[in-house]
Amino acid sequence: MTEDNTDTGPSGPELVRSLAELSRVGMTDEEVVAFGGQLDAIIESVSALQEVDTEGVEPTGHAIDVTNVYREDIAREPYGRDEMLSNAPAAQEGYVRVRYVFGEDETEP
Amino acid sequence: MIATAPTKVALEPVIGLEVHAQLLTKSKMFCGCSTDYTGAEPNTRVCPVCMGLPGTLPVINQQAVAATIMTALALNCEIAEDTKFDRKNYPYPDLMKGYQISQYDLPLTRNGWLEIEPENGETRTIGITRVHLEEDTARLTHRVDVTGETYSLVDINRSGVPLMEVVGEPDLRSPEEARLYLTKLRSILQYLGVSTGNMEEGSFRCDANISMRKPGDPLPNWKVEVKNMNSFRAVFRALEFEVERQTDLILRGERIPQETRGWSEEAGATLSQRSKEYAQDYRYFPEPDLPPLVVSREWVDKLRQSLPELPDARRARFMTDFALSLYDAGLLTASRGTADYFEQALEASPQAQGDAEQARAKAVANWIVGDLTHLLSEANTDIADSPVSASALAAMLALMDDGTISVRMAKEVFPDMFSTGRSPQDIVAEKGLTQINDEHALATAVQEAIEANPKAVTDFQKGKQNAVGFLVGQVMRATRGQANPQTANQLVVQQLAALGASEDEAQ
Repeated sequence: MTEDNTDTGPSGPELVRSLAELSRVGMTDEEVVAFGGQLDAIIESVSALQEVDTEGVEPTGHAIDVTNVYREDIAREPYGRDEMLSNAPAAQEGYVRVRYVFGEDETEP
Repeated sequence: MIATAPTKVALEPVIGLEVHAQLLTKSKMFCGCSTDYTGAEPNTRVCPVCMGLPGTLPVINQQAVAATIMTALALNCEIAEDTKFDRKNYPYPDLMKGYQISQYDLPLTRNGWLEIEPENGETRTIGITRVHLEEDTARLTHRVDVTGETYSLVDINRSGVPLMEVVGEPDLRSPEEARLYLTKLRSILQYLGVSTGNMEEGSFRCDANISMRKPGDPLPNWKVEVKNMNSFRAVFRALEFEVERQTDLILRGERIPQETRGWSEEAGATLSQRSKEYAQDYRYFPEPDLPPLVVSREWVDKLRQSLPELPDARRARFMTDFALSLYDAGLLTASRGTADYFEQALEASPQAQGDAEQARAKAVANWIVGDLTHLLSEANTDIADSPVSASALAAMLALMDDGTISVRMAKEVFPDMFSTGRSPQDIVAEKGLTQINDEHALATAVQEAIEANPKAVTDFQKGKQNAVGFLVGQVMRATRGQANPQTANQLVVQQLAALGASEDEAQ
């Protein structure tokens, strides 16, 4: 799809560390090294795809040949809040409660 | 990078705006939850899809796509034949799925423009890079518990509301141009009925990119992104602040770091926002849960034909049809509600042609941009909810036309209509305000005024014309403003003349 998907960035342990940080997954140094090696091997194996000649082949937007699946703009009855919050790790006053993550959005008293 | 010695050449700002507008659909972008969450209890407009639960599938709201295409057409954009959605990945608790469904390299529309008209300047064409569709995020509230630990509360009602992003080219050259661009864009969205355009309530948001350069230089390779501007005034002030801050730094030979800054209303300044560098690694990829869209030209044509008259066209028509000035027509058409009100008031008025029609249009325009706008703004009310309907204003003007009330009385009646919502006829009757046009009824008052003011009569006989005005004033006072001033004037002149004549006879 885009050049951005061709990973020219870090590899191995460095990539694992950055991905772990992005997805908020805690990892020990040993794990970073171990997974780094495995990830390199996976990427190398998948890289075989780069050798396929795609000259003249239309890019594929979606795996299934289907387009224009729409729904009508109709609002339906809401789900119950208790039911919806039952899956949340923690809830308070009708909200989902999560650990604070520094961000740029609104802070209210 | 700018690191050269201070220069005397004036610098100009290079500004581009990114606007996010919530679309006025009934349901969310990818699920059937209601978008009507204002004032709702938290998490009462949610379902497994907008909560991002595993195993759910989003389905595209066709009305949101239609609204985006209509907006893009109004902004002279090209509509893509092939378009798709992409995942924008970033870890933050306002994203329920861990990614936002947005559009990356194949947006629904691109390459448009809109015109702004700076005062005392030439019309300027501002490029629109693209208009695309995405989903809004959940709302976070940060709190601190008794142990001092900060935590966040998540309200998912807003998550998944259709969000249209209008990305502007860096074509704006002053904070004022930015304000005009925003005003124009909002007006177009309101005319189309696709968004409320309410900045204070957050349904219309604006981020700005700004840098400075010498006029004629290429675009700088750096820019500062300004966020957290919650009103048109905040956008204007934040950009003015940035122009000054960046100019100072450049003149001192300092380098301006590329960064994100937040506008602080309290500080009256933009402040650097610490942000983690990796946050920019969005790892976009095509959304596998949504099949791509093929936008037929038939559908685009149908949407094009459904476009309402837009602000510029309506303003031009008001000037041609009603001989209104550019200024009046501009004020009336800036919001669709005001323009509709104006036309409704004219329709509710008795038929008139030519000069009479133009005079009426001018009168209606004056009452709307004057007294009504003033009262609405005092009451912080939108014209759509005006307590004085367009037909009630027309009825009041009709009472003025047929001489029942004077302009002066109307100025008294109108605020009453506004505060009580009652008809002008009721208020006029109740206050006994009917104008006295009848000459016989006024003759006595005129006679009394003349008898009570012999000095004025002497002055008149000495040739002092303003004595007439004085006597008319006495008549107006005696009738508590109800006398028809023209009739009173005629009668005063007649009786004074008659008095003079009879005195001549007596001598």
